[in-house]
Amino acid sequence: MTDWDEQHPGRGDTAGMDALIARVLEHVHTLDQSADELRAVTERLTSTWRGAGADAWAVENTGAEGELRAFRQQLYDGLDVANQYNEAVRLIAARTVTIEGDLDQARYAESMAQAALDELRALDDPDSWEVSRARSRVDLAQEDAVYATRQLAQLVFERQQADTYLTSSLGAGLPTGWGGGGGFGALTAALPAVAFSRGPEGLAVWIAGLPDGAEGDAALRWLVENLSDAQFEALLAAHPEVASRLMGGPDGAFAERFPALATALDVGGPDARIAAVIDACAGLSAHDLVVIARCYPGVVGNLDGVPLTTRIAANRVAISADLAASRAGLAAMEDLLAEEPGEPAPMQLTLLAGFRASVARCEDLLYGEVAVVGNGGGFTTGRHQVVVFDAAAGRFGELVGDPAAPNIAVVLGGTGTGVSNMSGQYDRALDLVAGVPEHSLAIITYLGGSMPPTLDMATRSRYAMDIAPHLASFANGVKAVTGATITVAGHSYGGSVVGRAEVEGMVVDRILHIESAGSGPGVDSVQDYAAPETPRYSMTAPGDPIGMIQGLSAGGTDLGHGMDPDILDGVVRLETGRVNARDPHSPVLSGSDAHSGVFGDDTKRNVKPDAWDNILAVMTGGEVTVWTAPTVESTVPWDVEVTYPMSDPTFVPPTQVVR
Amino acid sequence: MTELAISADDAEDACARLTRVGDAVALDLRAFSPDPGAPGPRDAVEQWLGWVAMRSGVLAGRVQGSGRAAADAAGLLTDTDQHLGRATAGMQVAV
Repeated sequence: MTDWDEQHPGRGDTAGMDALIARVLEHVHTLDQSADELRAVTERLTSTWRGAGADAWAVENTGAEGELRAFRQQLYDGLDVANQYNEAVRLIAARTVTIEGDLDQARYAESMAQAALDELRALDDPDSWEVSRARSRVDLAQEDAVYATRQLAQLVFERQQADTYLTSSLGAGLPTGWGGGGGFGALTAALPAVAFSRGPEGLAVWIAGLPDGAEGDAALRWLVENLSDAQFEALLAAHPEVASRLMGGPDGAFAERFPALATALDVGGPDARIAAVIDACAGLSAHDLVVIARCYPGVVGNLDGVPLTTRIAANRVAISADLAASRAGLAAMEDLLAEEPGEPAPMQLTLLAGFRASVARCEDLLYGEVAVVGNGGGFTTGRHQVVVFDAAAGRFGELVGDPAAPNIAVVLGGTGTGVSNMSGQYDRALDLVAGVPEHSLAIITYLGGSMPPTLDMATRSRYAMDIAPHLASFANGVKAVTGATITVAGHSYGGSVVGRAEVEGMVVDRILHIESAGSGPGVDSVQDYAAPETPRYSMTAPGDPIGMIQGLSAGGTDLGHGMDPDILDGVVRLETGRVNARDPHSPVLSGSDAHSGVFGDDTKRNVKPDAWDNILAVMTGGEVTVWTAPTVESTVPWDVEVTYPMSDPTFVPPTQVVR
Repeated sequence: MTELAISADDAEDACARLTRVGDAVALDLRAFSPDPGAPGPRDAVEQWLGWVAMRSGVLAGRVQGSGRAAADAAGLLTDTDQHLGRATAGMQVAV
């Protein structure tokens, strides 16, 4: 069909539009019935299906039913627009016919009047009155023609208005970036709609059809936004490489859709940025938070100030991307080794082992089940909740417990802690979380980067210096976004990191040094910290070898970790007590085993030292027992007898309420 | 302890019904786009129909995936039940 023009503003396939409208209207009714049927099927099956799976299935179907009804309304709105447009065009077409008739008539009348006038003028002595009447008839006919022409122009204007209405109204119902010049919707023109019914493989086919570049990325993000949780999980499980394409930074579409968050990313200074991010996220709907986690995991997974649950969701995508990369690396290395004759080089074997470990770690984080504290207080199984994931930088953080807990502790391990052994940190945290009433405490096991791999490197402060700014921002972000009471605790080398983070601006509710290497590189007094008045606690069991490096430093080098936190002014030194806090006859916790023994003996879960009670009391704001110095008796320098008060079964240590 | 129970027949029936629902939900009219008589409206209608096709396809897949999930759950419990050597009539497993 030819497009409309100024002479024919009513052109358009209104009959075809009618047919389309009727077909879509029929589908609107089908969607109503489909939503009703979905509800009926759900109610019928869940009347006999019991269990958590049934509950989750019902929730998913309720969501799908809501989406069907929302889609039905969107279709109806679109139909309304199309129908109004079509009626307008039809009316314009009818009026055009009338006006064309009027115009033809006026032009004919004008020609006749003009001929009569010309005939009169041709007379030798025309009657002036007759000439005047003939001229008036010409003028009237011309006015009629002008009037009809103006009416036609009015119809042209109305058609333009109708076109604008249709274009803008239909466009307003489309996802951001779908239509218009450069819209990604055009990319879907050749993609089969039925692909979505074929499960993850169908989705993968659809995705594989998307070209590289911003438009393809936008189409992919539209798709994953529209998937259910189950569909999205299934897609990532079957095709984790899809996640890699979602890991890009903030693009134009991000800035258009989440302008406040995009602006917040550019705010200078970590605390100001955290505040801006929190403000931006507060303005987002629950759906928006799901969208940013799925579509921009690389932006928000590790962004301090983003809600923890959003970070957890985003990092599942990030881990999927890492899994895809690790599998690809492993496959490439295996292919290389298969083609090369002879034994693999040691470096190749190292890389091979690294890829295998990374694959296994990612698979565990995504699909492995971990012990968690259940609603009844006992243990059950759950999924990992990763709040920091940066494989390249060796950063990792996992939430153990309820993200909405009123008390959250960030706990750092010591020398040798790395991404490969964070499961040990998890077990230790879980033990603590299970030791208090359910939902009252959550712990984040935190690894902010490379830690000293061996004891001979543990005197070096550079690891603490490197990690400290990251920990400061992370802990400040957790405090600001959760509103929980935050304790940051460092065990062994982790204590030095915690101290240095305080210098770097970390301000939380409580600090706890556990068998700590020091109060932080360069720290001589609490005045070196960003918030000197923060309540601080420290514990070091007698005989722990860590005591030999506490307080040691060598000026101008990276050796040492600042003052011994046990004796730093303003720090409350806690009792580490007996091996079994419930048994006054058990021995005093001491010696090299005490370095990790403060957390209890892994083989005797029900036996916990006083130190463990004190750790929990600091984290939850209870009552702690305070250190009492031993008595030292010596008659000669080489014969010193040290007696710890806790070795006396009748000794009751002094207590103090945690601030 | 949570009692898990699902009827395999009911789950299969739900799967079949949701497959039909999904088939009904999908709507692809991109091949039948009428010509409104101007480039702007023509693009708008084509884009809208493209979106309708994709959005309805996603929803259809979601509904049908839910049906498969129910059938899979019944299958898993059946397998577990058989593995435990129990009678399969009621398909009841306590964990």
